[in-house]
Amino acid sequence: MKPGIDVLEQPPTGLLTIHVTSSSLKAVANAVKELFALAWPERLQSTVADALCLRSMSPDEFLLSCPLDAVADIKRKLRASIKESFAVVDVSGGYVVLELAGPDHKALLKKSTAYDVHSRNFPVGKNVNTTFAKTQVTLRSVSESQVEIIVRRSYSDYVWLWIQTAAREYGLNAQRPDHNRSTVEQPT
Amino acid sequence: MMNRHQLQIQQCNRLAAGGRIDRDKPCVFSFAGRRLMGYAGDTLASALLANGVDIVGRSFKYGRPRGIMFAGVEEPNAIMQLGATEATQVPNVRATEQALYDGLVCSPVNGWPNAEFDVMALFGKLGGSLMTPGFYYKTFMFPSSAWRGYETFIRKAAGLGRSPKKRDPDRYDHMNHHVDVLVVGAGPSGLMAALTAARQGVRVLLADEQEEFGGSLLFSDESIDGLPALDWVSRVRTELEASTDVLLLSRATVTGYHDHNFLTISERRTDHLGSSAPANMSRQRLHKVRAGSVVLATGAHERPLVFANNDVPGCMVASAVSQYIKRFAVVPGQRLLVMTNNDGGYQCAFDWLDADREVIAIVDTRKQPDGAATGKALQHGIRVITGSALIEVIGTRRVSAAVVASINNEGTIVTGDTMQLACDTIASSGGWNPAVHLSCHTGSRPVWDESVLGFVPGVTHEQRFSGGSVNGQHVLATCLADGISMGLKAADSTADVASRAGDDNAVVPDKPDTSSENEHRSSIMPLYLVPHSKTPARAPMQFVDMQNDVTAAGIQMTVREGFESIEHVKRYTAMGFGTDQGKTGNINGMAIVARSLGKTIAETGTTVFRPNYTPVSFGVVAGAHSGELFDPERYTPMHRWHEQHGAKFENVGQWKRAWYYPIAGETMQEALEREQLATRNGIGILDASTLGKIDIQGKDAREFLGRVYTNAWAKLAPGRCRYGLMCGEDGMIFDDGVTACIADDHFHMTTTTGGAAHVLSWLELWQQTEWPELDVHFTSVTDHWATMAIAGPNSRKLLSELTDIDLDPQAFAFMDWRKGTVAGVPARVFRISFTGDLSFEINVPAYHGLQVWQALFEQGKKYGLTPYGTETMHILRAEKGFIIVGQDTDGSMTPYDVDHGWAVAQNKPFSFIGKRGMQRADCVRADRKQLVGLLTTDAKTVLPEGAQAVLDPLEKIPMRMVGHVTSSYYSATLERSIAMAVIKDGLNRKGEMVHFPLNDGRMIKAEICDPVFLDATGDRQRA
Repeated sequence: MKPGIDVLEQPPTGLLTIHVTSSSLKAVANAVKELFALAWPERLQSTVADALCLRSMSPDEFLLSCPLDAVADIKRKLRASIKESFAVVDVSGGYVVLELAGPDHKALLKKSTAYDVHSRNFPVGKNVNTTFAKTQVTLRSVSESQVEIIVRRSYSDYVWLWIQTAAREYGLNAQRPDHNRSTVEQPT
Repeated sequence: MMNRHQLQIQQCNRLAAGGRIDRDKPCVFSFAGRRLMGYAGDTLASALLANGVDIVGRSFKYGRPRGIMFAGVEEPNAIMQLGATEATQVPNVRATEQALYDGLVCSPVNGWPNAEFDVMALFGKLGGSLMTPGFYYKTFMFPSSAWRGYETFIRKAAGLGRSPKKRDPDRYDHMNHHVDVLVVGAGPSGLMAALTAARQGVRVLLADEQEEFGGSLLFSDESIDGLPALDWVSRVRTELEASTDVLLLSRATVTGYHDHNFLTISERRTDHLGSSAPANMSRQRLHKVRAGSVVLATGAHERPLVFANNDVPGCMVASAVSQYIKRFAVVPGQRLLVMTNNDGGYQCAFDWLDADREVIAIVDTRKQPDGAATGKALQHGIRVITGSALIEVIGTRRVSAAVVASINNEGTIVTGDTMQLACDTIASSGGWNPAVHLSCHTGSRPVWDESVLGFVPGVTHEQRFSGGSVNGQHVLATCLADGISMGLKAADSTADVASRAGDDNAVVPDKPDTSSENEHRSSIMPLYLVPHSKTPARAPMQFVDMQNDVTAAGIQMTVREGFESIEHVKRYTAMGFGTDQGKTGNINGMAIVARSLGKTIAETGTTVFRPNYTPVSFGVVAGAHSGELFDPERYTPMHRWHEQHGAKFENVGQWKRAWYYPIAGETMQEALEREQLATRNGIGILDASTLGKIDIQGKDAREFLGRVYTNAWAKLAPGRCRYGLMCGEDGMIFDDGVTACIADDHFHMTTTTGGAAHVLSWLELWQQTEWPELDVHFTSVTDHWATMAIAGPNSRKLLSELTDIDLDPQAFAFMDWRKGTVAGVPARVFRISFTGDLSFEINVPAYHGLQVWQALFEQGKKYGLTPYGTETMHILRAEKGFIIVGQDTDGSMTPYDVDHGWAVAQNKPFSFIGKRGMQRADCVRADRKQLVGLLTTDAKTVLPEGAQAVLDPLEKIPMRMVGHVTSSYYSATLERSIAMAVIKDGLNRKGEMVHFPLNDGRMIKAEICDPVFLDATGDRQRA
C-alpha cells in the first residue's frame, strides 16, 4: 500500500529573521524587491522568487529562506541598502524545515494542530505560526498537496516522534538525512 | 465446554429471523465466567437478554438484583467491567452501548463478591431503614476515628468498577475539526438537518453515538416517502457520503459542549472490534470541533413510571422492549404487561405480538384514551385496562406478576380493589425526557414545557439550534420538518458564508411524507409516581434513581427534613450522581419533590448537566500525549554524543541536559569528582547549548540594555562581554547572564536555560508597551547556536590547535569575545567563565555543533579532554561563589541580598527596572537574608540543600530559623564540603557559627564565610 504521508527533512537551509517597524516597512520592502525581485508578503502570506521565500511571521517579523551559502551575501546587501530601523539575523541553525505531503497529509495536520487547515482557510501561499502537538511551528501551504513545517531545531526530534506516531494509521514514507554530520560550509 | 450449536440454542429469547444482526457472524463472549453467544450487530445488553440473563448486577445500597431496563446510554443497571487481561480492564461500560465482539469478557461492576449471591443484599435487608437519604452523612460521621474502617467497607461495597493496574496497551488520539455546521444525532431530525445543510455547500459534521445512523428509525414501523424508514436513512447517508466537506461519525458521542461552539466528541473506533482491531488504529479518538453553528438533534430518553418494586428484573421501558425486538430480534420475556400514560407506550405491545408472544394487558393510566394506538390495540384483541395503574410488581429475581388497581383522574390515589396479573415482563412509559444535556453545558438552563411534560433546551448565547425530540416533538413528520428548518438556519448563519461552495445550486430538500402523520393522538397524562394503596414510606420500594437506590419515600423524607432546593435534594439523596447522571430518574425525582412541596415542576426547577454527557476514558482525554510524547524533550545538537557516552540526563525545563558521565562502575559521586579534577587540573568540556540567547539590534540597543539590566552598559566596547543582573519592578533578581557587544548597535545576550522564553517576552513587553520610541529588535537565537564551554588550564592549548583566532592573553583577554573559525567552521568564541578557570565558550551554528564537538575530542585526546555535566558545573561554580538564579535566589532577593551590589549602577542617567523596588524600606532593612558561604566543622559532612539554620542548637522547638542552605556540594578540588546559604544579616556574621538541626536527628555545625572558596583573586580565569 502506498503510504499516506510523505515527510522530507530538508538539508540545512538558509533562514534569516527580518524585523521591521511600521515606519521602516516600506523601505525594507522596497529594498527586498529591488535586491532580490521578491515581493513583500501580505499579513499571514508568503512570497516566492526562485530559491527565496519570504514569510510573514507577525506584523513586524518576517522569515526569509534561501540557500545556506547565500545567507552572508543577503545579510550584507540588506544592511548596506537599508538605513531605517530594521534587523536581520541569521537563524539558519535554529530551525529544521520539513515538507509534509501525501494523500493523508491534511488528516495528519488535523491530528496535530488546532489551526483550520482546510483549503478554504489555508490556501496556497498562506503562512501561519501555530501549535503543533505540544510545540509551536510555522506552517506554509506550499501547494494543494504539500505543506511546509518549520520547527525549532531542539523540538525537531519531538516533532518527528509525533509525526511517526500520528502517521502510523496512514503509513509513513520519511526521509531524514543525518544533517548533524553535515560538512556544509557557511561563508562568513 | 459447550459447543457452538449448544451456545446458539442457549439464546432462548432470540427470534428465528429479523433484526439488524448478522447471524453469520456469531460472537462467543464471557459474562461473569459464563460462556454465551450472540451475533455481530448485538449490543452486549441485547446478547445478554437473548440468553435469558435476568440479573446483570446488584444495587448500590440495598444489593437488590437488577436487570437491563433500557436500550441506550441511559441504562443505569447493566454496568460492566470489561477486559480479558489486567492491562485492558475498562470499568463502568454500559452494556447497552457496548457492541458485542467475539471474545468479549465482562462481569458486573456491582455485586461484590458476585451478582448471584451478595453480602450487600443481607446488609441491605438487615439495614432496611438504616440506609436512608443522607445515610453517609448521618451514620459514618461518628466516631471520626472509625472512618477509616467504614471507608474501606463503603468503597469496596460501592462497586462501580476498578481501574486497570497495568499500562493500557491501547492508543488514543485527538483530531481537530472546523465546520460550519455540527449536527449532533443522526435520527430523523439530525439526518434531515445535515442533508439540508450539506446541500447549501457548507462544511458539515454529523456525529451519532450509535453503531449505525437512524436513531429512533432503527426500530420504527413507520415509512417515509412510502419506503421503510431505514431505506430513507440509507438514501440520506449515501448522499451525505458523496458530498464534499461532509464528515460522518458513528460510535461518536458528543460528550461536551463548551463555550464558543467548541464541542468534544469521543469516538469509539475499535471498541466494537475486540482483538480483530487493526494494529495501527487508535482505540478511541477525541474530536475537537469548532463549529459555526450547532444543531442539537439529540432526541429523548423514555421516562419510566415509578411504582413499587419497579426495579425487579423484567421491568423495562416500553421503547427498549421495541428496540430489542426490532433491532436485535430479542424478545426479553414471554408474557408482557404494559403500563403507559401516553400513546407511545402501546407500540411495544404490537411488536411483542408480532414476535408471537403473549401480551397480558395494556394498563393505561388515562380514563378515556381515544388515540389511534388504543384503537389498534383493541383491534388486535389486546386487553386495555384504562384509568388504572400497575401499582406493584411481585417477584424478586424476575417479575412474576403485576398488581393493578384503578386510580383517580389525577393519578394521586388508588381508588379501587387490586387485581393480580401473572406476567414476566413489564414495560412502562411515562413520556419522554428530552436529552437536553448538551444544551446545558454552556450554562443555559432548560425550561419546563407543560405541553410535552419535559424540560426542553433554554435560551443560549451560542449559535445553536435544536429540534425534533429534544424539543419534545415526537411526531416523525414534525421531526423531519424541524430538521429542514434547522439545517437551513444553521447553514445560513455561519460566519463564513462567503466561502460556501455551490450556493447557487442549493436545493432545499422537500419534507418527506410519513405514514403516521395524520394519526389521531390522545394527550399524555402527567403522572410520575404511581400511587400505591400504602404511602410511599410503607409501600414496597419505589425506585427513582436505580443507580443510587434513591426511592420516592427517600425523596419525600428529604423534603420533610427541610431540603427544598432541588440542588440540595440532589446532593442529600445522591439522586443523579451515578455514571448515568440521572438520565432516567431526575425528572421523576423532581416531580416528587414538586408534589411534596405543593409546587409545579417548573417552580421546583431542575439541576443542570455538566460535561461529559457520558463517561469518557482517561485515555481519550490524554490522546497521543503519553509516554515519550507526554511532554516535548528538547535536545541539543550534541545530544546523541552524550547518549553514546553514557551520560545521565537531567531535565531543565523541557531540555535534556547531560548531568554527569559515569564510566564503567562509577558511582555518581565518583564520576563528579573525576570530572571536577579533570577540569580544574587539565581540561573539561560542557555542552552549554541550552543557554538562552537573544540577538539584540538597533541604535538604541545599548540604552535598552542599561534599562533592563541593573548594571551599566554605556561603555562596553565591541569585542567585550559583561555579566548582568535582571530584576523585576520589585527589585528582585529574576535572571542573569553575559551579554557581548557585537557592534555598537548589536548585542548577543545570554540568559539562564529555564529563563530564556520569559526574558525574551519581558524585553518585548517593555519595548512594545513602555519604550516604543527605542529602536531595538530582539530575535531568539537559542537554537541557532551550539555552545560548548571548554574550561581548565589546558583549554588555550587545545583551542589554539583548532582556531585561527589569536589566543594570546593580551590580544584576547578575559571577558573578550572574538570571531573566527573553530575546526574549520565559523564561530564566535567568548572568553567567559562559569567555572572560574581559564575558559572559552565556543558558539557555532547548530548544524555544525556535533562536528565541532567531535573535532575538539579528537584533538583533545592528548589533553584528556573530559566531558562534564551540569552537576559538576554546579560544583565548580559554587567553589567560586557564582550564583544560580532560581537556586540561590527565589524571587525575593535583591542584588544586595546576594552581595552583588557591584552589579548595580545607581547613577545611570535613565532609571533601570527594579531600581525603586530594591530601595523599598523592607528591602534595605538590616536583617534580610543574605548570601554567604558555609564551611561545615566536619569537612566531610555535606549539608542537605534546604536545611534550616538556627543560632542556638539547644533552643526548644519551635526554634528560630535564621536562614537556609541554597547550594551544597562536596568539592573534590578543596577536598571538603562547601555550601552557599542565605542567613539573616549574614554579611555581618562571617566567622560566626550556625547550626542545622536535621530531621534524622543530626545537628550540623558550620561557620559562616565568604562564598568564594577558590581563587579569590581570579587569577585562574584571567590566566
